[in-house]
Amino acid sequence: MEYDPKDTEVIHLLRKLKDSNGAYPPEMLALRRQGYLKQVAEVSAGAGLAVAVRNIAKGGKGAAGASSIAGTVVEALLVVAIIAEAGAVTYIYRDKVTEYFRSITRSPEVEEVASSPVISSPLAEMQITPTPVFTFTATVTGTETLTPATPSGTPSMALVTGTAPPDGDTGVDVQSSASTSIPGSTGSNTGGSSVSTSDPKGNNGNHYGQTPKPERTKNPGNNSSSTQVSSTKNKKKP
Amino acid sequence: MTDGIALLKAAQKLDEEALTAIFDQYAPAIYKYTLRLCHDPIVADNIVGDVFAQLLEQFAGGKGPRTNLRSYLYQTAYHLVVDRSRDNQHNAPLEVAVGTYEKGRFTPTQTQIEERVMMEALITAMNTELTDDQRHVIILRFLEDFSLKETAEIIGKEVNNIKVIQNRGIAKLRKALGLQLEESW
Repeated sequence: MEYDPKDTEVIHLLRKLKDSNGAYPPEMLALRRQGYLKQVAEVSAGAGLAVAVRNIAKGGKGAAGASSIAGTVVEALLVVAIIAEAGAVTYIYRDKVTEYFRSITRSPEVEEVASSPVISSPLAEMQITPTPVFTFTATVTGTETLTPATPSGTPSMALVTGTAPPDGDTGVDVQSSASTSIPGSTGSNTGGSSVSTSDPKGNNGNHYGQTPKPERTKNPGNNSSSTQVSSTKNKKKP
Repeated sequence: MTDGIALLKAAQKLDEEALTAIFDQYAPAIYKYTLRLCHDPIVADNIVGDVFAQLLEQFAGGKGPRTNLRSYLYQTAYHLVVDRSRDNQHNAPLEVAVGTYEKGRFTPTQTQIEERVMMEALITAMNTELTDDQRHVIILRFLEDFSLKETAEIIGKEVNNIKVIQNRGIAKLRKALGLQLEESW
């Protein structure tokens, strides 16, 4: 490239500046070279392995660069890596592997299926009696007369309960329903299925106002009570 | 040229001797070029290390230059200098870069004194009058002896653009030298 004659002097100065410029300090250059050679060695070592792998993958076409020793080493490394990976996977999934082998070796078992016990609910057996209803029954007793007579009688209140017959009793009577079972009221109630009490068949047991009277042990004609007798006996002794 | 291509092919195969030969051949020149741009010997040394580390990485990855290794190394150095100058705006005077410029080793003659004055004026003008592109092109063209095409590749511009940048730079230097010389005389 030809330059303008006016620029010749400038270019000449630039050429001189080129020759006079500083060089790489020897110590600095030696250190930098040392570091570079180290990098080269590392890269070359890594590249040698890569080339060997590449040649193996090519099926030995480019085997000129890779020695058989390198191929053997790579092969051994691959085998070790595969074994290590398999071991790691087995260790991680050891529980599943164990279950799998157990499922293979276990003989089939016949299991008896038992029907579950049916527990009857106490509510199903319970017969809820209607609330006591007071009925007002008027019993009219009287004799036929010629003249119209005004009906006279004593009204009586009777508590009509569920199914219990009135047992021939008149007047106010409070009876518990025979079919009604109240948990805790019977001694044999264990909290299981409720069993309705049997029909009393006229024997309602001892109830308030129905206690049988004790038999008289005194001679007839003696009006004093047994308690009075005992008291008189106690008085006579002293 | 044939040796250069053979060296490059050997280096692509990560041959240690070839890689070492490349370093010995180009590291001093890259250092000098970098020092002219960044004006700091430590930074220049670090950039040399980065340039050759990148070269190794490229070769290891199956990449790297295929034909012009020298241009490739200067291009890498140029980009590293530009990146560093963006991060750090520190600019030492170019006198640092030309520290080995022989000053007063011998008793200077009149011609040597004139030459020294001219040289200092040139350095001052390069630092103060030229743009970054102009300075880079002047250094690559006249201090590193790259061709227009190679300079265009390194800078990343068209050859015609490089011509324009170069001519404008030289014109600025001539003008600055004329003014400075007129002032000095």
